[in-house]
Amino acid sequence: MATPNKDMDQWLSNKLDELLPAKLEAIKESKTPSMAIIATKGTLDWAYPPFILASTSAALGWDTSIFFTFYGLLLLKKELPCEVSPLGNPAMPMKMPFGPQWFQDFDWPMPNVLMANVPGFEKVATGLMKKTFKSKGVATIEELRSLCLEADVKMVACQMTVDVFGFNQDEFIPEVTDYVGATSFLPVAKDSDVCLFI
Amino acid sequence: MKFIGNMGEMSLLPLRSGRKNKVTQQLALYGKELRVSLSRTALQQLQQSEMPVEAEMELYFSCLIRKRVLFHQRTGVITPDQHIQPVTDGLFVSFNPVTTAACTIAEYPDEPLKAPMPIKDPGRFVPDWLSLDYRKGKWAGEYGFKTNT
Repeated sequence: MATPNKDMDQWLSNKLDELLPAKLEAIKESKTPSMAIIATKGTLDWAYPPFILASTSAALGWDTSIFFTFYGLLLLKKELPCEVSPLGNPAMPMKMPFGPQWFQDFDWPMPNVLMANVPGFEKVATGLMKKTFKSKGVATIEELRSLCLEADVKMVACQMTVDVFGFNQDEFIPEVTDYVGATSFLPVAKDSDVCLFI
Repeated sequence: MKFIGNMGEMSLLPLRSGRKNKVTQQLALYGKELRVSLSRTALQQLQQSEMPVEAEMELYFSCLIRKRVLFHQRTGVITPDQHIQPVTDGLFVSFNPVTTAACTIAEYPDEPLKAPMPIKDPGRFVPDWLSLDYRKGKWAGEYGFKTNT
């Protein structure tokens, strides 16, 4: 014969099995999803992912934060200095954003020695990438950052990197939410549903 | 100027002459101000058009975020709301955020099926400006967002 305590435990266990799934589902449904991004790179090609993901996540109504550290800090500058270098980047195709389709589709082989020695090569590559994106209607980095700010994406800067690189807070956009250390951002990352290191 | 389409009780402000042979109009979509500028050729084309034209500002959320202006000849009644507003006689402008499960940024004819992007607060994503032109027998448009720089 079962003791009263065992009966009670069994009753409680059955009740939890019955009620808990619906309760957990309700909690999940009512929770606002969140995303935390750690942006560490400041080149033109690497500036897109954090701002695209953040603006998309904010559009969906998620709480979104970006922690800018190391070269990622450049993405918070008032004047965005983003450039792209094909040098040492074999994954980057050299395509032309103008001319007939066969010309645009052609992969231009660029020897490293040429890319390293021709003055202004990075400016040319940056200009070509910007022109390609513009011709395809892709939003610019400036526009994506503006969309993120409009959608209340929290932009947090790494204070230590600001100090180490000798930056001044006046160089950054005034919308920077805070200047903190990793210790302050990690709890945000821990509690987020999606955390990305870019 | 003729007008086809239902504007209800709304009255349009006169277009203002702007720089570079353009005229401008200010309106609001989802509560956000949008500045629309039209070239003289675009205005002339509107005057000749039998049907109202809708300039749809499509914001395409994918692996990249693409901006595109699509033009539609509209028939029937167009009722202005948060999503679509009249600019001038015979011209409407709308904002349409979309997404897709598959990514392509090129304008291929077999573009993957688009679905409405469930933006929580669309007003925040409405562009700040729209520029419309008519050249080489085709409508052309571009839109953008204010930037800090």
